[in-house]
Amino acid sequence: MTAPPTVTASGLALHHRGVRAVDGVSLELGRGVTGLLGPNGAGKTTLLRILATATPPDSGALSVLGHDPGTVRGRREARRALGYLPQDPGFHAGFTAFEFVDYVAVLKELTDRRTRHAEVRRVLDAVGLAEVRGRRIRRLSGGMRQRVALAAALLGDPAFLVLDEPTVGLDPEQRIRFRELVAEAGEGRTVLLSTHQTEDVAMLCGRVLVMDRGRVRFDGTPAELTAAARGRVWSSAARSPGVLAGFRTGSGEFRNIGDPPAGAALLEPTLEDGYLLALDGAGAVTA
Amino acid sequence: MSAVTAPRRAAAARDDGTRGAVLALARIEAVRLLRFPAVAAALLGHAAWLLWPGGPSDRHPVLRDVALSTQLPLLLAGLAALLGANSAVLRARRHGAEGWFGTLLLRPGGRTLAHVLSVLPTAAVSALLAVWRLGWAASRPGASGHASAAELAAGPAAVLLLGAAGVLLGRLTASAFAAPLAVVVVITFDFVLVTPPDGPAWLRWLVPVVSDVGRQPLPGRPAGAHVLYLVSLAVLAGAAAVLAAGGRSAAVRTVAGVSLAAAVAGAVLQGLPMPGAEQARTAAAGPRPAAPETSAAAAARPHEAAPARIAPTVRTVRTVGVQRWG
Repeated sequence: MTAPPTVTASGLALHHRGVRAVDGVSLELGRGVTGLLGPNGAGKTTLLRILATATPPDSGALSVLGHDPGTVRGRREARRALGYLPQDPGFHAGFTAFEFVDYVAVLKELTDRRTRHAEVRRVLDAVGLAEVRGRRIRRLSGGMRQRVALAAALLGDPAFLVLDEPTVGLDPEQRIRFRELVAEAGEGRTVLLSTHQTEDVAMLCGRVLVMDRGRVRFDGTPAELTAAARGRVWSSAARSPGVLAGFRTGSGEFRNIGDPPAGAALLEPTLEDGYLLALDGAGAVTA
Repeated sequence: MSAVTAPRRAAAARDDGTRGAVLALARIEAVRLLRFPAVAAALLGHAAWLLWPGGPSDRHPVLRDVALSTQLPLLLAGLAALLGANSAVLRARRHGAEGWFGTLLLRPGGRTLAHVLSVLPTAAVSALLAVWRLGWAASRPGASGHASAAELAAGPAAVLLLGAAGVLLGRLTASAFAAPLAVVVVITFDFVLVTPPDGPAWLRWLVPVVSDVGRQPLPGRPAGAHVLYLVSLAVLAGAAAVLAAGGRSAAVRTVAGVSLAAAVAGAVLQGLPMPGAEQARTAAAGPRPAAPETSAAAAARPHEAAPARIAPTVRTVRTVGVQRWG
């Protein structure tokens, strides 16, 4: 017997500045980490804001943990079970890490001071910031700030965690550390991770959605997305015309993605290849 | 099991919902407001002035004037509270956190109410300073007259009003220049437009604090009505701020309506002429705050006898106490 989905959306649509930012999106999210890939302007952040109850859709139905965010009561109940890390959290730079997370905890209506402070210490410990919790946010590195935001999102042990590009601007070491945290967070709860990093999705996610122009273009496992590119990646000594993407590798060979010519030397595809093909050329690059 | 996923009984922390969150946020914001540089400087500066040996006049203080003179220094604290509360309200918008905070449970109306409540401790500290000032003056040799509790309360009430105005301003406009501009407007209103002694009495008492103590004897006024006017305006400003933030419950509308009526009533009552007996007593208490005593009477106490060459000398006797005004 499978667990019921945490989030169910049907026909979500939202116009933003005259554009259909989200165009009839339907999805179901269950436990584990789901990756959301897509180029800039694909509608990822708008979709996340709808799912995080920050923005109401123009049309469509949404259920978060069985609650309808379209009603005041349903929205409150959904928010109780929600942790949201926006793309640009907006830190109060003059606060210490502890003060800021404590402030967010109050806004989450964790009101008993002793319990709240214990919870703040727990989430700061969980993201590895115990040593710097008394340091002002303006003095923290970008990676530490992202961890402060993740700590704030983890307050109250939310069942549904929405992370909007949390690894932007992080160096490789910080990104690996962040992956550990997201992977841990995905144990036992639903995590929706929006990212431009296909490696993050390959490493963390049991499922991936690819969005473009407001619509979901692919919904499946990372392995399925990778397999979709099988037979469509090949190498050649010279640049192949008409490819979706092609670039010279370090060995001097060209790696091409698209429709291979007969007899082409096929290569093992990556998740990134599958992602580019899912966009159907919208994100094509050449080098 | 990892720390991130460790099951927590977070629900246990959510004990009393929105009301508890408003009070918890008010506590946090109150501490931050007291630590706001302008507020801290105004309050600490005032305290330092009270402690300084050459600070307030220590020779024959007239308690009625001392109560009035507590108001002007607290205007500084009030203006600082206006700046600090406004800055706190705009903090989330300034840092781009409004979108995030909008997904949390405590709604903008509740957050705004917390900001309004956060001004109360600053007003309370102001009240302590005013009481300290009066108590110190009353303890001086030669202190005379009576102080009005309502006049003493006017300064802290003005702090409350100006702080609430800062919150309201933050909810009406996101401009960082609005609060400094409001400070200039209040100063202009208080010192330039309304203070001239030849101005009408009703206009004179619309300003939050009396700012011309010492220049000439002040006419008496129903100070209780003035405090009612100030506190009602503060509540009105707070309710308007909550309404502007989207907290449009029936309770908030009722509070706004009642406080508006009370503010108008206070403004009207403070402009009415005082009853004849009160007026006579106030007039007497202006130049001569205490019961006159001739040198003949004082001669009964040889150590206080005045030199004969300035007889008949009117001397004052020390009278310490606080008198309520209606």
